[in-house]
Amino acid sequence: MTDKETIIADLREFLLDEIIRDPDYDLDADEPLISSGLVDSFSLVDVAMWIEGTYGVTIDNADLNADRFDTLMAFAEYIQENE
Amino acid sequence: MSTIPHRLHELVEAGPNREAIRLVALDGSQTVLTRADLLGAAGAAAAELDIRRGDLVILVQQDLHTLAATFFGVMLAGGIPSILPFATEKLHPDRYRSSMEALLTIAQPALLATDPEVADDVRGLLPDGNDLPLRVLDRTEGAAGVADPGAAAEDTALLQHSSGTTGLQKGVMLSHRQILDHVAAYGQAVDFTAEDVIVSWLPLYHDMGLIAGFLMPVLGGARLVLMSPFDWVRDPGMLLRAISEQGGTLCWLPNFAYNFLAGKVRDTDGLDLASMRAFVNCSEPVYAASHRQFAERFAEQGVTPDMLTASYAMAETVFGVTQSPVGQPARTVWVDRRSLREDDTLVPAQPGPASEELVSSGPPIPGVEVRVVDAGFNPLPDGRVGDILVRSQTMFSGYYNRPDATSGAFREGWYQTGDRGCIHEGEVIVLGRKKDLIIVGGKNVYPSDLERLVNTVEGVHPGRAVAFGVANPRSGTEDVVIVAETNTADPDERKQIAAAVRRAVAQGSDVAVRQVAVVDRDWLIKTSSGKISRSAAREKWLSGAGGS
Repeated sequence: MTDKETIIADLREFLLDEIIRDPDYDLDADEPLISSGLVDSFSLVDVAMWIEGTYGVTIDNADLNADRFDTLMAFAEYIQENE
Repeated sequence: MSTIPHRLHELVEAGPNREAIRLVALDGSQTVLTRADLLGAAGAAAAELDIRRGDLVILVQQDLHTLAATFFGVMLAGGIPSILPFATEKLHPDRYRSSMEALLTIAQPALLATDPEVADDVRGLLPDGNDLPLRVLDRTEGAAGVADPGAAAEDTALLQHSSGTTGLQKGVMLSHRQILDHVAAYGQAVDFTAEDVIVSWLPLYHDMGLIAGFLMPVLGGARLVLMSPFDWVRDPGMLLRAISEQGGTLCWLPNFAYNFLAGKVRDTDGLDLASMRAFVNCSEPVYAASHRQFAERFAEQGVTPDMLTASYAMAETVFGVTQSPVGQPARTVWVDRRSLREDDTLVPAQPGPASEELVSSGPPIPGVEVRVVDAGFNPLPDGRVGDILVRSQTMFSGYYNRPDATSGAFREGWYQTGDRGCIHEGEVIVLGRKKDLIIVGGKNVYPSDLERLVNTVEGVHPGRAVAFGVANPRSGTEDVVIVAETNTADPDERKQIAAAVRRAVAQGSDVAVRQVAVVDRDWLIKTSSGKISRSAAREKWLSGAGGS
């Protein structure tokens, strides 16, 4: 099982490079991603696909929303539980 | 002369049990409304609404069954429906409230109709001190109905607004005649018949979704398979499954959706898309590469290049201005980039790094004329780039309660689109949309709306920020870039400012910012009239000066 800090760091790097496109942005593990508008809904599918490709963890489409996943932490916990 | 309610009654008489709308949800559940069901639901909604002829009713509803019923219900009662988006989770309530305020002041609606799902949100988002009655409708059905209000063909049937503070101030008025004539004319351009099956995820508050993805199939007696845009972004494959299962024949998509579908649909097992006659790329710049990517990705599922057509459209002409012929790929032409950018002239060239591939949006549809003029309003010959003018037999009646804006939109009988383009071999090639307008995922974004938000951020020098769009070939749409000047040289402070700019735009508008550059004073360039030039900022930023 990958430890949570590593997942958060990897996911943060992916988000800053590919989605937010600002490697200098200080992205906190608890910072809202979707409800803050930092990540738009079109990019959520990208995040889900990256997670599936990297960790082999599938996120059900119905769960792909801000209520369920709004922070790096929420993604990381889900990945850990399902890896 | 006929009205939309008359048409609905005729359709029910001709075949009450024929399927009109099939609603497909994320969980796979489906709801079928026959023509009789739809008219019954609309009649019941009309009875609940209790409005008078000519009343404007704003619709903010998430449930598609309720929305369809309320929309036609308002018309049955002689009112004028206007569908607005509901606030997304990221939009700051104050922003939604202030854009609503502008709308309420200008349009003076009689009523706001909502549904149980969003009623609480909507109630909380109305401007303070307003007395606009709010009515909550919930999947009405039955045949209660209302007395025929005696609407005439020339009466205003609906209003279309585009989004944002600026868009909400101009409601495009369309009459029953204009809409019925337009769906007939545009239908001819896509060889539409009652045997077609239209599949759509498009929102109904947008012209493409409302006309092509809702009214044309419903009023034309065809089958419509409809899903929510919120469901579709979570599961883009549901559109293709609906086409496959229902034998879809026509589908309208903004350009980014071709990239989105090609890149993101994971499971294509058993998908059969060969029933499609045409996908229509419309409402943002069309990229040849997006078509190629889509055709290659879904070739095994039956998609062929000749299904990929293009259209140029706007709410002011009801919808379509041009449409490339169905059954053949939208034409493309390689042109010399320098002649195009510097001399506004189309010079055909070999494919290569010095040339650019343009996609034609096709010839004008029946009843529409297109002319391209120079800055002095003189008509330009084919191949010369200028301002696009449109004349249409289904031109809108005006902006609601805005005679000033209406008269400013026309010159010598032509509607001035504000878009740039040229005529090439009888077809229209659109090269730039309204001055400085940014289009993200098919959504129009006014840079002035974003700049207003950026100017509220502490540390940004007031009045010294610009917003512009930059094409992103990977996503098939534009990225929003903000450049803001500051007095501070401290890198940490600049980082904070950039983060605050992102938040301000995200919470105050429909879009997310892709890149923020916080720059020194006097980075931005003023025009001779003393205004900051967005296009000059864009050029400078693209040339790599963004970080300085």
